[in-house]
Amino acid sequence: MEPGATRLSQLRRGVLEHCVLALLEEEPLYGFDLVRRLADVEGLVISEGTVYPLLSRMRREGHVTTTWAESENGPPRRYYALTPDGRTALQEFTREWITFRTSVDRLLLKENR
Amino acid sequence: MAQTSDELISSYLSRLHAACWPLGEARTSELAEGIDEHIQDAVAELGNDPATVAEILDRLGPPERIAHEASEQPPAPAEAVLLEKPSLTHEIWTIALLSIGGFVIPFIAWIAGVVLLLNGKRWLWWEKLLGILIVPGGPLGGIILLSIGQVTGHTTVRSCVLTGTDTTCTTSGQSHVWTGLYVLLLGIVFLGPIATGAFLWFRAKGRAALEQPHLVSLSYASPR
Repeated sequence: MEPGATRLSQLRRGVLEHCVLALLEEEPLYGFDLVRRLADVEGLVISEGTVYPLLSRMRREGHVTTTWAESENGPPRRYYALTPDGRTALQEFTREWITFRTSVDRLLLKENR
Repeated sequence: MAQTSDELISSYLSRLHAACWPLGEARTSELAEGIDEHIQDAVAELGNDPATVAEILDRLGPPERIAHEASEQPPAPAEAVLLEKPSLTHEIWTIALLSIGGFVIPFIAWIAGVVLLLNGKRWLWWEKLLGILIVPGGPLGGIILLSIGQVTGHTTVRSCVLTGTDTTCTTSGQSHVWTGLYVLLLGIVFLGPIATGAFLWFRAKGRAALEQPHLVSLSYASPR
């Protein structure tokens, strides 16, 4: 594995959880749908299955809750939804992220000039 | 020999169960159910042929990596650890039963209080002895109340007053002595327990304050 990938994978793991929260902010999603949207973001998810342990932890933390809803064909499907605590966590992270991103950009872009 | 779609899926799920085994049954089933549903939904949308299924499983990644990720997640997030202060419930009940219990359910409440007292972990043996003796319904109170009877029965005082040429002697003073002693003994009987109760309470409280607060770990047995 290249050193660059390792460095970025630490960052990915930190933001992945909040990306999940952001996707759930609009509406509850079922597992496959959620994972697919995450996979659309380049480099965010290496192995799709690892999203599920993350979802378990977020449920234990109280940021995410699971509900079951009927699907057109087949058994009821598990949907993941945001809790009020999860919403708050997302808002706080977004504020911090913007500040952080701006500062880091300033540093990095200054170096490359 | 190519495997069928079902074979691919069941073999993947078996590997997943095996890899997740150290996490315990609850977490394993939670993960397995979520991933099983993922596979079903993916197959429903993308196709049921072995090639497609193989790719779906490939994108999920090795079950071992999923289990590793799950083991990396801390079981109790740092911000959710609870520190619980030592509770003084036992001591409160003990003192209440010993002191007031006698007015509600005489004797039995006191016995219960004594049992709690002896089981108390925050009192020394002589403090417990004090608690047994000096409380309403306790031996000392009983002894005192009994002896009041003796005192009023037998104490007499002769007092003589000189009036003119006569000396008038009266036997009295039972009431004086009786009243004085009675008040004193009543004081011991009623104030003593209050003092003892307060003493026991502050001793226990002081010792509890020195104890380490203990961690209460959150239980994840029930899904929200």
